[in-house]
Amino acid sequence: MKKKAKVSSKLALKTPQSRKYVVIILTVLLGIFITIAVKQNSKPELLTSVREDELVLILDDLTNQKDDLEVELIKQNQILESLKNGSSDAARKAAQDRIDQLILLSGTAPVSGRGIQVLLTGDLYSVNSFTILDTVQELRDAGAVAIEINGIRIINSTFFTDTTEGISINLSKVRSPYKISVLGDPETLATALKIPGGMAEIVTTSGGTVIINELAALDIDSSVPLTTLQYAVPVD
Amino acid sequence: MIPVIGLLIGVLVGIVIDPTVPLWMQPYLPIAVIAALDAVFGAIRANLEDTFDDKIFISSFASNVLIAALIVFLGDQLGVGSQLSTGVVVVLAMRIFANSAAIRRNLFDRK
Repeated sequence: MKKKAKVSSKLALKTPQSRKYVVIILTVLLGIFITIAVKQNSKPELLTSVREDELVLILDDLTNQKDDLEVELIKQNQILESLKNGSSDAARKAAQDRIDQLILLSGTAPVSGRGIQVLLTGDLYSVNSFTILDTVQELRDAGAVAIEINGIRIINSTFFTDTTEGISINLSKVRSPYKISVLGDPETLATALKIPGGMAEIVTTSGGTVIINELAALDIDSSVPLTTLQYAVPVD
Repeated sequence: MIPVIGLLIGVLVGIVIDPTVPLWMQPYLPIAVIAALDAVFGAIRANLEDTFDDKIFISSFASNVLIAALIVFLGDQLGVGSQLSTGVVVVLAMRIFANSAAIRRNLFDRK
């Protein structure tokens, strides 16, 4: 200990008093350093205090992101070019065609065209909700684009149930006779209903009647309100 | 008591003047702070055991900071900087815990 005291006495720490000042200075310095370190750490976006290998990792990440974004940019530019080069009329016409198609299929607007009209009569035994559902499905298989039963438009969410007097479509009651208007190729639709073992045969053998008229011009005036998408959104 | 007051003054000064640290010093600052804290805890322990010597405190403060910075610097040069600084922090933290345990025991013994 004595030897050490001699050594340090040769430095600036001669008296106990001056040593006390050095202690104070050191603690003050420590306080300053602590605040600096804390402040530095609370600025996470600053990369100055990050080590070299960590910087390399960050750089790699950013490079990958940049590559992905460049690929995306090229794709979007291609789309932009194709839209620019194609005349805007063609693009608008394509969009309008698509809208027409969707209106037809979703049943949100009245439609007209060629088709057939079917008159179904019978009691609950010969014509019930199963018969109607089978009919609708067979018509769709035959390429029906729009179907209406007794003034009610049939769309993909329509449902049929039996009641004591007839059937109900979407909870609104309808009864025999059922007037079914269908847009599509008349011959194909009529054939689909008339095939052996088809709807017409089943209804007539169980006591009902089926009258099918092929029409060159047919209007379907009923429509369903446009519903807002609640659980799903289209993917581009 | 004086070191605690000095520490508080330092914190206040740091908040008020908001100094910027040179870029090359920034990786060493957190390690240096931990090393200095180790020295301070050692001093508090020594003070409670009535063996406090300001010469020892000054030298341990300086050497702790310098050696810690040196190890981290060496680690950076060798490419194992982050691992070595983790090691330094672990060792210094262990020492701080050991010192604080001794301080606690000492305080209980006094009562």
